Amino acid sequence: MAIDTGILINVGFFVYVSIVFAILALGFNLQWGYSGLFNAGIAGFFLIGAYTAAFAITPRTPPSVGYPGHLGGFDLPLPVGAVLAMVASGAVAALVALPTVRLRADYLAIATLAFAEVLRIVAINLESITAGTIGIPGLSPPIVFNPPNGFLNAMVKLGVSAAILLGLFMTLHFIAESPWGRVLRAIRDDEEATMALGKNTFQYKLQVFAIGGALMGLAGWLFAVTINYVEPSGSFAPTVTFSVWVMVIVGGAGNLRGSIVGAFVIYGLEWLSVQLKDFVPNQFKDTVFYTRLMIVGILLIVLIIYRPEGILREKKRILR
Amino acid sequence: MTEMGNGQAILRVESVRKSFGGINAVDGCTLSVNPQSVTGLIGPNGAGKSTLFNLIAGLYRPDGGEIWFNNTRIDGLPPYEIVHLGLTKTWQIPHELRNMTVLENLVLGAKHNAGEHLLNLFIQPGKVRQDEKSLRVRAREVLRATQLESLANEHAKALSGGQKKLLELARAMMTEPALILLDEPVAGVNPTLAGSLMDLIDRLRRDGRTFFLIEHDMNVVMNRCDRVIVMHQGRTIAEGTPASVKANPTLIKTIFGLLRPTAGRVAFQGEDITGMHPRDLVLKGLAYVPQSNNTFPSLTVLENLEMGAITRRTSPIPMPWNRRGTLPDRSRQMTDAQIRRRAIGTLNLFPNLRPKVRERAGALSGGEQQMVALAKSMMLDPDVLLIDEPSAGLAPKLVDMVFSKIVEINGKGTAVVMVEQNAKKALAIANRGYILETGRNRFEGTGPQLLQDPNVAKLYLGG
Repeated sequence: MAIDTGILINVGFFVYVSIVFAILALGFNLQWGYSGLFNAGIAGFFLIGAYTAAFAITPRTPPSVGYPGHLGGFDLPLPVGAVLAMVASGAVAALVALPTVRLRADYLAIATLAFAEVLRIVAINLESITAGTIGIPGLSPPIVFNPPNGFLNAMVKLGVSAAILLGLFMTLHFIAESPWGRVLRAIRDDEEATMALGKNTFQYKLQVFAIGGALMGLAGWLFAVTINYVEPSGSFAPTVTFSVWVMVIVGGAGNLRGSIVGAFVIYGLEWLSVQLKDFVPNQFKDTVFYTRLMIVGILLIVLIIYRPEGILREKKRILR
Repeated sequence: MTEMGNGQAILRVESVRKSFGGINAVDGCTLSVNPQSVTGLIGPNGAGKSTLFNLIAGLYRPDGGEIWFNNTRIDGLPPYEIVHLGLTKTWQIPHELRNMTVLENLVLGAKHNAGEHLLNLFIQPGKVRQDEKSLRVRAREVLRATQLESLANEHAKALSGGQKKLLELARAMMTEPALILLDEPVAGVNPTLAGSLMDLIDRLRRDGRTFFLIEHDMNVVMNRCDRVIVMHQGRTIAEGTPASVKANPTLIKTIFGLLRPTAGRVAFQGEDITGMHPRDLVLKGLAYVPQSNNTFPSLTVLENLEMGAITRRTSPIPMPWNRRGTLPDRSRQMTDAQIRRRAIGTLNLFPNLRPKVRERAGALSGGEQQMVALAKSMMLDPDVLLIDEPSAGLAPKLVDMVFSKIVEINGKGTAVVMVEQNAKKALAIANRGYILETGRNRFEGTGPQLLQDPNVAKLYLGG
């Protein structure tokens, strides 16, 4: 008897999109939860990663009737696309950080939010490079099955995403819980005091902004590869940034595991609200999706009041 | 260049200036500190002492002048480079890293720790482990010396005020400094602990370190310092041995808590308020108008008034680690709209300010600024108003105006205590007068009694 693979494909989709969000959340947690840098341009770095991946991975696509074409089409292997996405996004993050990372938290937020919006609007309008709102299709999945097999395809994506998340988590844990990471937490608690302890805080902030940006770029690559399609108006809107904030706040700032938990919980609510459509009376079919927004809102308020440190609170580091 | 420039001094400050929005916080300050000394820096609040420390430590950049540490010019260097040269500072209000443990706070003080460089984590893991291990051992030794060992793995935010001061000193020691600037090291520390803290400083000094400290506790200044430098209005006005420099702590500042009394009590409406924090005193109904710097020059008159009623702390973005204590009651009672209404009500008492409510306070004349300061202090409807030299620096006509306003405020039911050099005019409007000499009551009586007393007239009223 055959298992209903449709449900598994659907669950697989939930898992690998959650993983994309988890990587974004890890990057933001490193910047904000560890270092106190409130990045409001997450969607922008995510966009750079996704487009760099699309330019690098897709085969050559010349302009044709009804399609403006796009930059690249270099037909490079997937891992090369991942590296390029991280390098591009990390480099841009460092450039953005140079003038802005000295700003106070609220101004840094305004500057990065503006940066991300400018980037998205450019991506919408610069048709010759990004194909505008038509987007870039045709990113091939990690393994192409012949004949096409939706179930195996979903499972491969799931496996690749899970392996990447595991590797990233271990690497980030290693660097964030090191003496280097300790300086980041010191900057977050009191930058002036950290400078008076002999640390070049600007350099640390620059590094962590670039690393966080590179992670967001990697998330962009994974997103593009798992969805097989890049388009600027919805996928990189400021709401993506806001979702990641909520994930880190709910999961627990300053705790890397918390970012992963937060991503699965918050994206899980969205995914469930979509699934509900099949189980509610007809008159609610169009609105049930939005219950998610109410649930997330209430969850956030309750959490901020009763557990402001998040589901997994930052741990006390006991030194022996 | 001068006799103190001959390489003897470990620290030389020469004509250093720093101003903030038109106020000269440090105004041509020159001083030097000898190696292996404990040098005290004293002076009234607002004299520029903490600003000077921030300039020396590189946290502020001077507008002019030079700062030399050993034989290196350090003004304009970033703070982390100055630390690496062997100069560090502590804060008056402890800057503990609140969400980190005491031990983490200390280990961060080390100047060289391989693991603090990202690449070393991957290319020199052995050195990273070794550095970290030896630093933890050293940090524990310092904790033992500062009696904080039992708190090693507590969050710094869980420490008491006095313990945080110890933590500041301990953390500063981890940077292996030759010169340590201490901003009020024993403020808020209980006497026993303060004594052992100063003993520790003595020991460290004998090991070859130099201490330069701001302190209001006269016991510390008189008994523990080799040399004392007095600062006033951004300059040094006196220096010498503690015995030769006797500062006069003024009573009004003692009452207000800006200077802590070494003995005696201050009672307000039957309650002992000695040493209470100024913020709490304001909320109890005690307001204070300082002699100078008593308005916010870059804010408008209306904003100045509103500031008088705003005592809460807000953060633009809610960060879980920024959660501080609850709001005090008096401020909680007022919404923004209520504050605005009260400001407009207060302006009824100061009709000549009304056409200028949108002007920056700094652009007003001295007399008008004094009015703004008075109005600002009336915003919380105080029971007692302390005024320090309301006539200082004002033209005679303006003095009359300010004094008649004080009479008017008093008539509305607020008790006024003022310190005033212009004794004739002050006593003319005073119900009661006290004349102090070297910190003690010399004469006391009603205003008219004192005015008519021939001794008072001879000594203080210019015959």
